[in-house]
Amino acid sequence: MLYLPAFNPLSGDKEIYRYIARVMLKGGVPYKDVFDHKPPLIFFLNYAALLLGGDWGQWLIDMALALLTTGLFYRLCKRHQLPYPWLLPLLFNLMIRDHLMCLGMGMTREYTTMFLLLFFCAVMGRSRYRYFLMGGISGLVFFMQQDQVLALLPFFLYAFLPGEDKSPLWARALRVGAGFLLVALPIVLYFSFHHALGDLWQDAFRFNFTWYTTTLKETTWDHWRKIKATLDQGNYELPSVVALTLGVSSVFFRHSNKKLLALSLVAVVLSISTEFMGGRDIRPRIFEMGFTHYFLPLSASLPILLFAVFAFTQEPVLQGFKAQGIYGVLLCASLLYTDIQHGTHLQRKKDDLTVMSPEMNYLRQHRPGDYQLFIFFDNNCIYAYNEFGIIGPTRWVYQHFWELYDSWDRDHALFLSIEQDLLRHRTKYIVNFCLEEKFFRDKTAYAEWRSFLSRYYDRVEIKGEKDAEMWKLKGEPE
Amino acid sequence: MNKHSYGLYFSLLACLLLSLLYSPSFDLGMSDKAIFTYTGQAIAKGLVPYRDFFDHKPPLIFFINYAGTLLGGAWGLWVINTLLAMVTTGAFFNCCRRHRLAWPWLLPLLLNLMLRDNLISEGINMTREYGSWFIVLFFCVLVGTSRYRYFYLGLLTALVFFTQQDQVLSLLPFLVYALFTREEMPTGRRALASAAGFAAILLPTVLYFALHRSLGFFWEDAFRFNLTVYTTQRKSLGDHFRTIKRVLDAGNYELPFMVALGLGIVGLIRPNKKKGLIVAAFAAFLLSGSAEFMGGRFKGQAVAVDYYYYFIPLSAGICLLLFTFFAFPEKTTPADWTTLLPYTLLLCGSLTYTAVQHATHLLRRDEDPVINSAELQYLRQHPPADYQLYVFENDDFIAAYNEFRILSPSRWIYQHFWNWYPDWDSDGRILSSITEDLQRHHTTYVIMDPVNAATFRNRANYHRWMDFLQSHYQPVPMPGNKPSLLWQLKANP
Repeated sequence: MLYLPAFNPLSGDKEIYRYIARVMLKGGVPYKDVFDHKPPLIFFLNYAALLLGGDWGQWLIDMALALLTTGLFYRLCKRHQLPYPWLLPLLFNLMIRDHLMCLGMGMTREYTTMFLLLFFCAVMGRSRYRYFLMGGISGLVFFMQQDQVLALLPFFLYAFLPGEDKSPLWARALRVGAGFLLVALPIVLYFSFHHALGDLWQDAFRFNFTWYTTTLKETTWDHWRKIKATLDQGNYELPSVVALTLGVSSVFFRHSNKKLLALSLVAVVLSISTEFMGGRDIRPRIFEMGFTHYFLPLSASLPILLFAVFAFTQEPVLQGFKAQGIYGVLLCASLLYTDIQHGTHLQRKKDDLTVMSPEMNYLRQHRPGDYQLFIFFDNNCIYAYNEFGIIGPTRWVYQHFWELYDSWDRDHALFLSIEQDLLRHRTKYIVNFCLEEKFFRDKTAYAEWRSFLSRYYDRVEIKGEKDAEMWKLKGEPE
Repeated sequence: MNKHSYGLYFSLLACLLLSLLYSPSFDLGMSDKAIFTYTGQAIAKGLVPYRDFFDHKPPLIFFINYAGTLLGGAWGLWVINTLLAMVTTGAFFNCCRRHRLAWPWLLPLLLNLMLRDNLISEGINMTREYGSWFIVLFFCVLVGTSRYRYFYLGLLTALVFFTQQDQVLSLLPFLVYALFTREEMPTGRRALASAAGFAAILLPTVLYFALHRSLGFFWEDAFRFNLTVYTTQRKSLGDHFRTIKRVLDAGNYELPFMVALGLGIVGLIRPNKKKGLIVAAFAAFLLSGSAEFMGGRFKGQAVAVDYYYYFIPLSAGICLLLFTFFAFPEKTTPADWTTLLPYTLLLCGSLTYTAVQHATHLLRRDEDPVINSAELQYLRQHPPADYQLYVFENDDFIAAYNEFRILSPSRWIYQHFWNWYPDWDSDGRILSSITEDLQRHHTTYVIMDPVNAATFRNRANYHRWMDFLQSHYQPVPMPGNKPSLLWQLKANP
């Protein structure tokens, strides 16, 4: 409820997902008509949300998924006779809704985190469709946020360990494959039907393994400091330290399922491996916090580790109401405080600086239609497309690659395509955000953009403007 | 050497190594400590605290610094501090071993890690650090078997009282427990023995000041001042809570605090033969953070400042509470290694990381911006004698008095009350006494921080001071035309 549409904070990534869903609603196809390098499931999910009524639809989908995950995890904890079967599901919810980490509802990693926990429930469950479900959920993860598949691998291994199931290995693999295909096939068919399989491959896969692996070179210590700072400032420190301490200690204690314990420990590490692969922040910002939402998968992997500890421990010091009660307080107290602080200091989305900006107020008075507005260099302001229910004039809805990579669009072909799109659609308004030469890796691209603006657009002075510039096509009436 | 000694040696080695991180070359300057060092030096030159220099701390810290001066200055003080730390560590270890804790080194190690946490402690030799060692010693005596234990309890209470008064609060629960718990010795006799111990510190202190005809100053500055002028900035309960959360979090005290709080509550709930002691330890734990509610006496900030070192007594409060939990379990057997392993990692993991980070990124004192400042470089070429330098509105520069081993021309060695309290020195009498002292001694140099001085709450006083300074002194140009903090007496003022 803390993330009801009125309070769900605005964030660039989420605005882009919503925007792409709108493009789909208007007949466009992801990747072909709009660029993003995320796998397609998040766009379909946002599309479904739009069909269900927009923001509230998305909230319902998100909440239903969270409730389902919580319920299944609770059932698992109860089946394994944990003294407080609600403790770990509560921890999961407190972590995944920690506003210092999650950037609100609707991020890809939030969904994959829930999928990870669902996957674990399937692995530990007794369903005859267990392997089929595992395949289906891994398909969901893969097509939502590829790198999160890594955190599933240890549990795949666990499910395929000898003695875990009576059916032969090939039969299990076949069921997993069938489950995966259940997700993969419709997606492939959709893109193939829209002649966009090549775009899907190029943007959602190849791009991520070529361009998007260029990351700031950081030492292991830099990563370590970043992890420490992020966990600390996001109030994940206590649950992380407590869970890892209990996990590592249990390796030396009497424990009836050390395989699961060891694999859960591996899963914790893998769930934040993005810190080492991603965070493609190639500006030197070491010693600061990393991308907080990269750590969101811990909200599934840590409760899973704790489940592995508590459910199979044979040590009295970790069993029983008292022992687990003490650890429960340590695990949840700090997060509970954070959530109460958040709950008592809710900020309305309409008070967001972007939503209230003078440029947005100007646009509300001069409402643009489809293709008549172009937002340049600020992902948060993609919100404008969504508020007006319009689509942008170009496929390149966001442009931070010009800021990140030296060799990106060296021949300006992409840049010129944007300019051509603007001229083709006679796009009326351009909003430039925080546009300074220093943000462009390729200074000639910046000069080209400035020259384009001054040739075809007039500057509109808006009272109270700070970081943005509003430009209007020359010769166009108000 | 038996195997039990390994734990003791490990604890002492950890204590020594952690203390070495604050050896004089690396113990960074901090205004309070510079003031204490000055007081020790001033006593060595025959001055009497309160009468000849103003401070509102109780006198023991001045005497400790005096002893440090006699023992050779900064290293002498370090030796005293480290010895006290090692004695306390040894005593606490002995206490843990006697109570059959599976890992008797754990809590002494935690105590040292917390007291030497550079994110909280501001280095060594702060009054609250000494107070914390004394409180742990007090507890060791309390659960010990010495026939003089009530005498020692009184003596240690006095040591705390004359080092940092408000820390006596966290002794009170233990004192009440010691005096009123059922025992063979009647309560009256116990109280009498404790009073005798207290008097063993009180009497020499009072006699010293009486002999130097400064009992009045002692009372006014070390006691009355703290209850009248030294009032606190009002903060809401929510603000206090946020400060506590921020400091514990940023200082890496969060985990030990949460573990102690959790276990303490469990200790309170479960049946136990030593319930009284556990209640006392829990109360002491809470009271060890009480400085946050009494202190922070800084008026005039839009946002109240967080005083990190006010939380250093938690190191004693947390360790003693944990001791009572582990040493007096509900079952007959004390906690074994399976209980202690997770707690050890939780309690010490984060603090060990902090200590290692600190050790691998030590800053040398001679890299300190004040020690390295152009003003001090200039003075090193023109060393001032006694009374020839006055530091105004920048406590960190009090290190200059200590470096040149000189006395300040005025009793008012630091001046931040003029920035804090609107009513302070409203008639400008104290400020006039300072300018008179400077004229009387023909003080050659004044170091003044113009930014701090400009925040005088009483503008008339500010103008009074600036008029005096500009008419009698002129700035000494510094290399690179940087704004100079150093002023020199004019030839014809």
